[in-house]
Amino acid sequence: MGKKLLSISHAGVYYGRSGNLFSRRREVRWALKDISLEVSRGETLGVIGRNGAGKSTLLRLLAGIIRPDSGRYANFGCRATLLSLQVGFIPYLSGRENAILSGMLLGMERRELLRKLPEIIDFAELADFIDEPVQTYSSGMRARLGFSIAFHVDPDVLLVDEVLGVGDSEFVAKSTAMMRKKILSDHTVVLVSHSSATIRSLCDRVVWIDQGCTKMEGSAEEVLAAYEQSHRRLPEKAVAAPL
Amino acid sequence: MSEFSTANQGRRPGYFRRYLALILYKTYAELRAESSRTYVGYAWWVAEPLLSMGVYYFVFEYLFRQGIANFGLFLIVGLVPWRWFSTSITHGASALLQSRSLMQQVYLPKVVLPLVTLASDAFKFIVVFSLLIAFLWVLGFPPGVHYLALAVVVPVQGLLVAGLTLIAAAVTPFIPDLRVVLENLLRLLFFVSGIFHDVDVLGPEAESLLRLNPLTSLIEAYREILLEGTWPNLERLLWIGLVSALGLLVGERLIRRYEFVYPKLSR
Repeated sequence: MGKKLLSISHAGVYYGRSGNLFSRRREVRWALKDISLEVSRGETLGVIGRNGAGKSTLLRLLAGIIRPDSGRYANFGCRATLLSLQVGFIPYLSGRENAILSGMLLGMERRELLRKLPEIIDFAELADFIDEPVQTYSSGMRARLGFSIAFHVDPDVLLVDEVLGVGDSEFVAKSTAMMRKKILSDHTVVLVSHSSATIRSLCDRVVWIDQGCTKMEGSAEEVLAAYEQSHRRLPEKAVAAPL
Repeated sequence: MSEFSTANQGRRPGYFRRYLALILYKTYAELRAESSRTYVGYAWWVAEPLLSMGVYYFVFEYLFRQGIANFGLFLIVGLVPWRWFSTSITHGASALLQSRSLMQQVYLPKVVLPLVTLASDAFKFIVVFSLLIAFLWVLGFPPGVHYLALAVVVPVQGLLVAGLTLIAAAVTPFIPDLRVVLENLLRLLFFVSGIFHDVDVLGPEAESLLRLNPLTSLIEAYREILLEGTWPNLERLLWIGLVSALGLLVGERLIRRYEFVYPKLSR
């Protein structure tokens, strides 16, 4: 087992909606109630759960974007980044400028970014258009650029939410394959999905969360069997980009 | 709620350098985006203030004439710093609100967002202010030794602007309606900052009241330096600077305190 990188124990997170002055209802919704998990270097941790189980909130917690309202969160000195596409894109700027801006927002150093830029552009297949404003791009081109930037950020812990590949069908295949390769390599990854097929093919260890609580944790085989059992009557819907 | 290791990105070496680079690049990007959005681009940074100053100049030079010599210049020297003040605070008040989706996707110290709007508004001020100085020179107000005092006046105003901008940015995500209140407060302030008149023409009582407004003293200082060729009241400026620095600290602390709350606010 590698070194411990992230740990949360009995974490809860709520979102409050303060309504307005005239309807004094302060609704508080606990998106996470009692989640415990650890992420160690080199592993691929799968998080499985149905829609609304709190997966996105959990990723935000792991990414250090929010803090738990109850329980604990500890980061043992690593950079954990959510794989977010087209972060901070400004349509009026060129693809190159957006790549720099987005990469810096995702935590890359400017120098590192400039070094990787040719690779990013190449991967996105945008060599001829990279100095054109992004607003002139097709949605497929924009998706390619967004993916390529996020893919080239190499955080200590990569947090992936569901969709692995984007763009037109050809690029979906390419990006998905690259993502799989990256996840299966010695990168530390937390992969969130409601698809047991995706998780099974990529993860060593799995945490199942349900209604904001850790329901089960263990080897992929064990947890997925239990998960599937409980959802037998709910056939899996197709994922945007199945692996 | 305990035992958090410091920020997620663990204030490792290079933390400040990295975010400074981000602030600078994002400022550049937004300035460029703003200019490429319009037909004449960069020219708007100059044209827009010129147009709005032109309106005031017209109204007060021809419609409501006051008895001040060179009233047009008197007015413009007041308006340039005023615009820095009001645009910066207005933009700061929206800085966090407008970046909700960004805050939910990546961790970044939230103070970065108002610092970007601060930097871009400060940059625009410097462009317009430089033009003003050139303009004054052409009209027979050459730079003199008193211009040295600008090295105090401009940074002091910078502190004031920065402090209020950060405080505005910190508070509005909780109560977005405050932006409307703020807009009207700024309008009120506009009329009581001695932009249209000398403060001392209103009598001592009104003057001491207006003196509570730091902008009054700042605008007066700009006029003394640029138009009258005299030294401003440095002691008063230093006091303003000191209080503003405290405001800046308060704003920064507020934003840092709610660092992890802002991404959770849903509006």
